[in-house]
Amino acid sequence: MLFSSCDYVTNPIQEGGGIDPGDTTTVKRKVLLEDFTGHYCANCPEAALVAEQLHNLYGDLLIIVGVHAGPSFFVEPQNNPDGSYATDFRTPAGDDYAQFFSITALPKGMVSRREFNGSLTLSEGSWGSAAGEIIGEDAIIKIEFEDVQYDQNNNTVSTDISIEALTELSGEYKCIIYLIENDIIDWQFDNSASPPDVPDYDHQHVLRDNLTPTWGTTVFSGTISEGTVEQVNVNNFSLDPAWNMDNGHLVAYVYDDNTSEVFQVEEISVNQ
Amino acid sequence: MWGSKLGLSSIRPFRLFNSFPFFLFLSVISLHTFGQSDPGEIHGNLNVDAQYYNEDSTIGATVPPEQMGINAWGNVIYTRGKFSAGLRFESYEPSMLGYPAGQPYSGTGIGYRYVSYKVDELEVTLGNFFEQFGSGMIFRAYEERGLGVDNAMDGVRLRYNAGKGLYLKGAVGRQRFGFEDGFTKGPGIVRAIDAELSMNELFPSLADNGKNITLGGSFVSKFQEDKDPLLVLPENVGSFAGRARYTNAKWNIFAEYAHKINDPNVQNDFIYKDGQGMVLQANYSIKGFAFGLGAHTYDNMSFQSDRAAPTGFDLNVNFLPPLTLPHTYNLPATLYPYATQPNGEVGFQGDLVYKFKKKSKLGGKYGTTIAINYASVFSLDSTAIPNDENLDGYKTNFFSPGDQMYFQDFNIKLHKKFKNKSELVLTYINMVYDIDVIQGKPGDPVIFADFAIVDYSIPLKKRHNLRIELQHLWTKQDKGNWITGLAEYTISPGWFFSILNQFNYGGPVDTKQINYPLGSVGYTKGGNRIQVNYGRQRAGIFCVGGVCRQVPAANGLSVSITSTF
Repeated sequence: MLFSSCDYVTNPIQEGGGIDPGDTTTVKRKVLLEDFTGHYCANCPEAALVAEQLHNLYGDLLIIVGVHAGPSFFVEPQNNPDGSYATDFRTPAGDDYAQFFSITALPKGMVSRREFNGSLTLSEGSWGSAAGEIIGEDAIIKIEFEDVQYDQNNNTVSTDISIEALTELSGEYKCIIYLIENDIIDWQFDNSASPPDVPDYDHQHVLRDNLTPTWGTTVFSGTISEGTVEQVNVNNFSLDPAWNMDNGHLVAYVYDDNTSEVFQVEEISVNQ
Repeated sequence: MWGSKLGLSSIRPFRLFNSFPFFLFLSVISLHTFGQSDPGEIHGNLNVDAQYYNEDSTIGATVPPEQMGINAWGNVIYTRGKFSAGLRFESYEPSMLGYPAGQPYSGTGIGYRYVSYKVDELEVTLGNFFEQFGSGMIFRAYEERGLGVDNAMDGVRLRYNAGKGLYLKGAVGRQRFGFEDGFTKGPGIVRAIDAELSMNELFPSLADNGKNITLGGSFVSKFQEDKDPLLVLPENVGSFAGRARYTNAKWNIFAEYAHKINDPNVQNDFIYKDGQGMVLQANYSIKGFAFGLGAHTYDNMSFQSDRAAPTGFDLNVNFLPPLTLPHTYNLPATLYPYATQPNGEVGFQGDLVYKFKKKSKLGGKYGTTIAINYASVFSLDSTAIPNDENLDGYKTNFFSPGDQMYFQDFNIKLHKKFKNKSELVLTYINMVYDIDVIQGKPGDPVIFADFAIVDYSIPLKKRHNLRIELQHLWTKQDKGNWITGLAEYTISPGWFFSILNQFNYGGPVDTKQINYPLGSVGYTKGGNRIQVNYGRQRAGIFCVGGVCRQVPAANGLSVSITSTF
């Protein structure tokens, strides 16, 4: 009995992986991984690596957003003589999420804002398992970017999104649109690097701003019949000139206002 | 053991029929079961801690939206002969800031409930229970309320006295995780068995000589489903431990070794290396003299029933006993306490207590006691594995300390009594503290600190006592120097008044020179006690048994009420 209670693992890396696309005619539920991180969080790069590994495994079904928010020690800009860690990656919405979801330590992540093993905010070791529970489910909501316009002269972005109920829904569902940027080269404290102060770390999926209010705009309310379609439009949203929209993406998701759970998410490049 | 954990050791009996209906109902069941001669007894206690918060940006104190926090616990236990049943109500509306250490607690409900009975040599517990095997290296379910750590089991426990000194225990269940209008449980199942043999019960001649040897062995396994898409995770993680203790009139010698098979988890960065630990302790004691020597090593011994538990405080299956002196004076206790490093450490400790005889040159008329303690803790002597395809992480030699010193504490305490029944305690502490490793503040330099503490207690008149405490901390690192002054006035048995102030100076930033005044009044009558505090609470660390939580800065009014029946 004692030996049957011990599983020795000799080859710890999963062979193959990925998921079977199966029936491609039905809309599948995608997963939003919000990776709460900070430029002075020494263990956050390892968590970011787990996120990338999961993205390699699940492809477009897993959408990652790096939210620089949490304990101020890890995220606030520093006033160092050499200019290191001076960038402020925080956003007002990110700070609100960190407070609302009690992000008291980093790294932490939320996987479609759904509880896994009794917790909403998860260590990176749970992200894959939590995502695996959701990915492949039939979606109840479909999100489609109908149009994305990047106005380089005025440095604005506009988008039209349609959101369709694929089944009968009840409750209140809201849509949030993030603007994220990839490949920002800046300082990162990294336990796995030597020395740990890395001046040219490649920050991925960094949340830059919300195109919607922090808690989104309501798209469905009350009892919604299957096939109902609502539009969310954002016109001429002003962008910070320091942001490089060649690496910019929009991430739109719809969540249940009662439980916070995200039921669908989509991502698209800003500069197509 | 667990009864004392609940703080029930000193509570007084209460007649059954003065109680409220639930326990009347419970007792009816038991009366039906056991006959009607003895109605049994109900015991209970209540503990309420509440704080009203003020905004204080100077010290970084924040105010929650509710403006106050309340933690409340109430135990009610029914006992009748070999039968007992009980429960604990808990209320966090909301919990106080910084509490608990791990998974948040919220709402009101039942945090612990159990039924237990004993028939002949078999004791059965159903529901919640606390338990420990040996030093706890592979199994300890316990509660430490000050920390907000509670990993109680919920399941079944059997204890069996097989005779001839052989004691057997077995337990299975899941552990308490958080609290949301009642306790929640983690995903993993814990299975545990233990056997202990007391040799002097087997061989009575040993007992005649005042000697005893006990031998023990335990096996603990946790099960958690593997759903990970990237890694092949072990669903059943087993661990075993063996221990021996020798005691006679002067010596108490203990040794325990523990081993845990591959247990990739968030605390060890998902490495597959086996874990191991060893605890060695020898104490010698005769009248007026005692010394102790201890050593331990922990190598990859974090053991939680959820491999991805949100924090290191949640769902611990084991407990790693510390080998450093837990200081009680405010500055050393809350600024630089040592927290055990489960991923790896090697520690040593030696202590000596000597009492100078009365009427000797140093002993004076009423005797003098000197206590010297030294402890040091090092990293493991480990080497990372290149091209680590098996994800073993690193290699290390057993019980081999590395170059990095995490902690060192040399302290000496002199305790002298005087003719007028006053007492003087002088303490000096020299400490080396790696705040980066212990408190997770990367980049912060190692702290070299000296503490001097004077503690003088004077009886002023019958039942009136004044105690004065002066503490000073010198360091060039962290926030610089601190000075603490405390005056306590006690009128036995009812009243207690105290004024405390802490002042920080000599730090790198002038504006951080802050006073932290705090006034307290306490009143005790019968089984009830109330204490009210007003002032500033400095941000610090609170530790019990090498497990530490951050306590945030606070300003405001706090009330603590305890009551037993």
